Amino acid sequence: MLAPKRVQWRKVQKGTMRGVAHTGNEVSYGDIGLMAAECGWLTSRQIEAARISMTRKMKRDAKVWIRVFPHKPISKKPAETRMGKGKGPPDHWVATVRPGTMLYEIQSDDRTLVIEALRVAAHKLPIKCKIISRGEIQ
Amino acid sequence: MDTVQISARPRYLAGSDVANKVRRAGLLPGVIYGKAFGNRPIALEPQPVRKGLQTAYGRNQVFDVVLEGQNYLALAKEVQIHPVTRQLQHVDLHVVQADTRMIVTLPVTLSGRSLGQKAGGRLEHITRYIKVDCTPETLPKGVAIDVTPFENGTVMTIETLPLPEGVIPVFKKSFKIFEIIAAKVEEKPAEDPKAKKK
Repeated sequence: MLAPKRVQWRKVQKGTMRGVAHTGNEVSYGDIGLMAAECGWLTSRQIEAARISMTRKMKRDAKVWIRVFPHKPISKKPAETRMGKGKGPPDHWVATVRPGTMLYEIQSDDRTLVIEALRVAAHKLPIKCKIISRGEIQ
Repeated sequence: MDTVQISARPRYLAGSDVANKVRRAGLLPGVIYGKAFGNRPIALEPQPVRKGLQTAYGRNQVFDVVLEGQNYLALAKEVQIHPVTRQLQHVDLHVVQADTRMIVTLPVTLSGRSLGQKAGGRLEHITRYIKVDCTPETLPKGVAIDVTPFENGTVMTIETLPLPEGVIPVFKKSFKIFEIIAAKVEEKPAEDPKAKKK
């Protein structure tokens, strides 16, 4: 699973997810991409689950790019612990995504299979997603 | 040279507030500029612009802009698209002369399944866009390459790229377009002849 090798600060604040993605919002590497249609946190498990489902659907006949990385540590208090006594230890990592963020990109000859793979991958994610082609204008 | 005609009306005020008002009115804010032309904010009908940008020429479509009764040839220099709705937000039109040379970015598209891929190889599309020097009259629709006859180990560079006459690439000649890489074959360790005898 994706996780940073080392970080400057072990615990961070929750932060806000206002606005839309002004960077990382275009299909830059592949032919078709999966775009976040709303904001949210994607855990490293969800990112990996979506990637696995996508590559299984494509049967290794495509090149996949993951455009998000879980930089943000999320802490959690241990079970059956009384409140207080400070913030809990880091539990998992998440990627903060805004509407418009390109999550995955695929390059393959079989366009219908790519769309199907991205549709399957979107079901593994906790946010609404949209399939976008390179340079698409609606 | 195939042109798409669009009618523009001048916009006397500029700024994001005015641009938003133009969008709310169902129009597309834009700006038109060029050599010995200056720059003028304009408002356009979004539908013909959108259709024009989705032709075979893509972002390199030459527009025939009708502004205050006069016709100008223009290229979309910059197109702003909303990150979520993917609708046109703003367009920069650059006035060009039909016989003046200019540098444009052409898309390179690959089609088909190469012999190398059928043999287990992998197609690496390295350069998707190339910059070329041409006139609006000689402007090609793009560079489409059929990779079907290519085998493993094929490397196509700018030098070997099939470009129409009058179109000169700006990139280095050795710049790679695509490469077909042969699949890695894992070598089995040689068995000991002594072990077999035992």
